[in-house]
Amino acid sequence: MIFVYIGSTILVAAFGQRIHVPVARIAVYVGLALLLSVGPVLGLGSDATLNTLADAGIFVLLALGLNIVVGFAGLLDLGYAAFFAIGAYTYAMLASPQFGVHLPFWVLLFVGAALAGAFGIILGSPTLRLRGDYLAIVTLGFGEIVPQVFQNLTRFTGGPNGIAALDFPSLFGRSFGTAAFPYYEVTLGLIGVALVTARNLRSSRIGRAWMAIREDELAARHLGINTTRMKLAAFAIGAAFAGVGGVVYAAKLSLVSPDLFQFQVSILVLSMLVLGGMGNIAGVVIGSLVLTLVNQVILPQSNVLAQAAHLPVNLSNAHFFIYGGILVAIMLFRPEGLLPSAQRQAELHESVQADGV
Amino acid sequence: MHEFFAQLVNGIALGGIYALIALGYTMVYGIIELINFAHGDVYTLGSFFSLTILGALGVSGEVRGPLLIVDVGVTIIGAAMLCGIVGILIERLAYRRLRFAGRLAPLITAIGVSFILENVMQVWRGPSPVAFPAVFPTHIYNVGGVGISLLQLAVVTLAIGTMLLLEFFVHHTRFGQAMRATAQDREAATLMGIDINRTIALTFFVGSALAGLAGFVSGAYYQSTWFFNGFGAGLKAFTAAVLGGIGNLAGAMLGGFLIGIIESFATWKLGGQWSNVTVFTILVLTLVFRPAGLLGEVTPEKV
Amino acid sequence: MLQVEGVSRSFGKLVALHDVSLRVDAGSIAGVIGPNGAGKSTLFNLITGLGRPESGTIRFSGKRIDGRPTYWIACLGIARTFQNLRLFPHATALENILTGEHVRLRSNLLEDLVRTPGQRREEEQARARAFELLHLVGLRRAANVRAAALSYGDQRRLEIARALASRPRLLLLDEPAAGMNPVEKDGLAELVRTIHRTGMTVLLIEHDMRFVMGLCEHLTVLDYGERIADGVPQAVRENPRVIEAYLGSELPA
Repeated sequence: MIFVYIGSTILVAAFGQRIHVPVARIAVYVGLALLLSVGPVLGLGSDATLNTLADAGIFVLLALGLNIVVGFAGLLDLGYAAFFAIGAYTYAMLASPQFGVHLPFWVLLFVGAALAGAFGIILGSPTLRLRGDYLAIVTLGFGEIVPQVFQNLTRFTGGPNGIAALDFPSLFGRSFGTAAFPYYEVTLGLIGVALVTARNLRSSRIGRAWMAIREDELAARHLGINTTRMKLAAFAIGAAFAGVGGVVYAAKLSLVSPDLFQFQVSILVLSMLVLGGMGNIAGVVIGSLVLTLVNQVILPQSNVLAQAAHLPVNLSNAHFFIYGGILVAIMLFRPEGLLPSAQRQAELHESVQADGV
Repeated sequence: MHEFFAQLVNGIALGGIYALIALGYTMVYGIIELINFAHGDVYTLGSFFSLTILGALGVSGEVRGPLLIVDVGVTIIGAAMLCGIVGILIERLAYRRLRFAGRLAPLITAIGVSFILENVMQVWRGPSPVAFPAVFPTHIYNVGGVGISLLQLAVVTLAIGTMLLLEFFVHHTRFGQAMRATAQDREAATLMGIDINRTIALTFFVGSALAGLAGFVSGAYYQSTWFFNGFGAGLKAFTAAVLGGIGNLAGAMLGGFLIGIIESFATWKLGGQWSNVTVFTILVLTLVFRPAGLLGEVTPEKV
Repeated sequence: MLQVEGVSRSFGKLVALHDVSLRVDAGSIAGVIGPNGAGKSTLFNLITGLGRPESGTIRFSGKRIDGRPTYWIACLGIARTFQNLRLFPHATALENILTGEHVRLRSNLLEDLVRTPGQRREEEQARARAFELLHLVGLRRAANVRAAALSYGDQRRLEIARALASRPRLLLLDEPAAGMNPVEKDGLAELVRTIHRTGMTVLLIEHDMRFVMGLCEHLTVLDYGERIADGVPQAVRENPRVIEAYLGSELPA
């Protein structure tokens, strides 16, 4: 089941952009969306599979958000997990017995996005003038501070234990409960929104401004682009994506604790981007699916196999090695990511047509 | 008042360790403008190498008399050499190819190297803290009512001694001159006949060797180490380098001691759980308000 | 249109500009010439907000612009090219020009996000205008080629097109003919004349005297950061101080 999903996504990503007849392309997208959304209603996919996919979906969401910051605007954010944490704690504090506040999930999606975005602006406004590598370190520092603060403010956040027994979301009076299916559908819907957002922004005035900042910031300023403001927009939008991801994550897990938002999470999401190709929307989706698959399916399975064969290895600790290996290998040998950029080729094709007219 | 001085001494010793690590950050940044993210992990490797060497020497506890100097000397030199070699390897395998690839690609690679090193150490020495023999005698000197241990004296002496040696090395040797020339203008340095690759490799060797030294010192000081030690310590040492003015050796030293003292006082006054937050807040504030650091110069943007 | 008055700027002990004044009238083509290191680029940088003069003022259409942020000055209507080409290398020629239109486009974040009809119309117009500019600089067929893949001469022309995309009132060209062969230079001079005929005011920096002589209506000569001559090309060429400054490097032809 999970392979069908990922396989079809890869197919679309690889070929969808090469199909020039818009109707055919749209048909492929609609077909995929239907398969993904209606399939489970018809009983396709076990609860465990949907659970894995829902988790993967949250990371797709995070990766799409970070892609706006790193891939589009070229700002290396190493503390992205902080915004994820802010979204998750928003839900945890406002939809749990912690303070007796029980706001609906659907409202908190927006609140989480807004709060994370606001923190993005607060962090970004003084720091976005810094050079790229300094900015990366500042965001890293921020990423260390946020979970630590959540851990220390025990009175509000439950300290190291975090907050448990969060409300289940509900729709039309029906609670989501613990089944994976509704979370899966919600995640899917949010990914749809995120995809459209990312695509629309990229090929518009603001997307071009980000490209300009990424490619040559000084030249960008000379074209009248208010680079600080545009960077801030990228930062806030990326943070808002993470905020939404955090709200869903907390609701699905029904629990938050500071250790869920460590530096490794930021680097995991960064590895997803790097693997799929920074700036490449389809690549980012595939990169995050592949890495989640590795983490949640391949590593545990290999471990079971290794133990069955009495091999003295414990692969459950190999995450660091895999993320690190991806970052180093891709940067050294294939900095554009694994997925070849079909879009550039398509554009080259279109150029011949456009000129022929 | 007594507690104040005790914390001050504590902070200075801690700062000595940070200063040693910060020197490596600042040297590498000075020459190739790379935040060598893996530097903190080389420092942890230094602790583990020291542990291995001490084991080979049969040291499992306090050593007294001249033997202390021999054992410590052998361990320090061994750990520093090994770390230096690791540093050269990292530069050769991971960074050299990316020397002209902008700022972000090498930084991302450095993070990757850091993760790989951490994983390797985790497999090598396990995921939990490992005990480190208390090599130094627990003698405590009473200076005006404040207890200063032999160990603390050793840390500070080592840090300052290394710093002086390094200053001499950078300003009065041919390699040092090559290093400074390369840092200032790589092309001009090439024209002057300086072997850039060798100079950069040497910089990594020296910086990493200092991290190895720091690894021994911190192991002996805390009597334990673990694979993830370098992440936090590296970040704090980097903060120290930035605070002092990155690229500036004296600045790294000053920054290291300041950060050590600040962390020590934050732990005392606010509680240990706030010490990291305090240090990282200083990092953010320094970068925002005085990115050139305390001793650095503001450089204009190149067009 | 542009008035530079008594501007000085130094970097450490090096005096890059000392008490330099300059006027560019609307609709003219003016040039700043001088040997390497005379302070020409520093002057351009100060005009576009890269650094602030230590003394003196810079006015554009009567407004003080010295010390203002670069993007703000660009929004007022000053566009420029760079001595060492600063295109967006991985973006196509078309994308480069569309980015140049940034200040003319009105769509905001939300409109971009949901693609309102107004935003779509504006994008259509932007593309049409970009193709016109590509046509003007002879790069129409290269619309979807990455900037980095274009020949050097084409890159120079593309950078001019990108600068024009913002519909500036003043165009600054920083050594536009640098590195070009004589044929390319002639083509470039023709292009600058064409642009000028549309009513554009042009200020350019060059050290190729021949190129400037045939093109500019007014010349300012800098040497070691000081203005040593100012006037119509013919008069400037015969100025003994100019001849002296150029002696040993390039004699005015």
